[in-house]
Amino acid sequence: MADHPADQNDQKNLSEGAAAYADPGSSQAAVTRGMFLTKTGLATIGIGGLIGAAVGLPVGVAALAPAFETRSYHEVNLGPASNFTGTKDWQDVTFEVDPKDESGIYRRLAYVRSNGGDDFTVISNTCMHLGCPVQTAGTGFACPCHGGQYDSEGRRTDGPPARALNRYENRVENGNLILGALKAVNDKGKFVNLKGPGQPVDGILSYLYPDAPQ
Amino acid sequence: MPATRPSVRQLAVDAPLEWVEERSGFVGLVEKFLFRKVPSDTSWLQTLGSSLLTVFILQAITGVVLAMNYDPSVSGAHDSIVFITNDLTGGWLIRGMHKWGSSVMVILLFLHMARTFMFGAYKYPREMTWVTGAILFIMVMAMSFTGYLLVWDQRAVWATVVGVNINGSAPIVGPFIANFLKAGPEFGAQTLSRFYSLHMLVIPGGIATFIFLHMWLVVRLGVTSPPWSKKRYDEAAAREAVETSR
Repeated sequence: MADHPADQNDQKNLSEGAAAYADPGSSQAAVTRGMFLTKTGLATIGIGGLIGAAVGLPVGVAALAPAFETRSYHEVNLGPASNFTGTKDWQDVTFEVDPKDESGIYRRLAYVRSNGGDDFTVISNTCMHLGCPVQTAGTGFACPCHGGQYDSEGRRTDGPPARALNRYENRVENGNLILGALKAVNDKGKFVNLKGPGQPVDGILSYLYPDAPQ
Repeated sequence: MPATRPSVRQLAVDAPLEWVEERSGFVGLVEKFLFRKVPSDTSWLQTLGSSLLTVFILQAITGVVLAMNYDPSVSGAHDSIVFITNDLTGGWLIRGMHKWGSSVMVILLFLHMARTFMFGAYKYPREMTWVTGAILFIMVMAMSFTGYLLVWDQRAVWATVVGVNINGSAPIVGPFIANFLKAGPEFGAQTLSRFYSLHMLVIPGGIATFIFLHMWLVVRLGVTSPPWSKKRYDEAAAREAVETSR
């Protein structure tokens, strides 16, 4: 027992009564070696956690932030409204939703129909099943990907789409047809907040799809 | 006894290996890994995991060469794919290996998982091997999804639009997952660079980490005998074997 210096110290302390200094190896010490190591270990984990958070938090925020940005839309001038009058058929028109971009990735196609006077219906060609481009078929629209079918008002008639085709807000200004925001259309034909393809805007199912920024 | 001249083999092979072993223990580690005991009735069916590892290494190496020549921008991505295929020396082969290798990896993964399931090799004490394998499965699916977009032709873009919207049609979290994948409400330039980063940095790191964990468990726990084995499956013996190996 007495081989170890700490043990010798221990015995000496015991024999001399209260001592100002106790070897950390002995059980008499105010802070024993075991306590010190445990606390240092916990401190290491704590400080390590803080450093991890200091690095991880900005990284996580930067990676997730774009998912919460709202869509910025620019009004698009489609030119003289008279170009789209004179027929009751759908006429397709392409335009850039991001005027700065030249790559074509933000080019959109819409179908325009004149309802007489300054009243136009502008339907987006994004299928409300999973986002493929629809094309006119007969009097309505059809999607080549999974067979979604829509009538002449863009309402679903067959296949997997979750709702009617989106529409653009529009107005005629100085004789030009101006497109505004893209809107979802509910069962009653009313404009509602835009949601992604495949996400219903009517009935109980619509509550399962919270409005993510669009 | 006079000292004999060391042979060429001793000088060229044994001595360097001894030098490395003394300092690192790597040689012993490799020996333990390669010369471990397996049941005598293992068959070709148990080589699917090694095949997967080989294909992953192949994908990693060909992927590095592709990344050297790929331009993850909306205007340059497809042009750089055309350059790799038509102009880069051997580029058609590297891209072909990576493209077909991705399909081979998914096929092998399903066969490997089916083998494990049919053999009941996910049972005690190999539950964690199964779970790490399931996580690897999800990550390989994510690799296929993110890699498909990078070709940046019409098929790549529309297939990925559909894939992102499938994610979006999950209840509650779906719309947010879709926006996370698209890097915003619109599918566009940020989507491509995000998919590129996930495809060549984030997910491969995860796969490499989980392959290490998966193989650690395989080596630690050993290989199961097939169901038709006469030695199989004595749970008490298996537990005892694990106890004694500690």
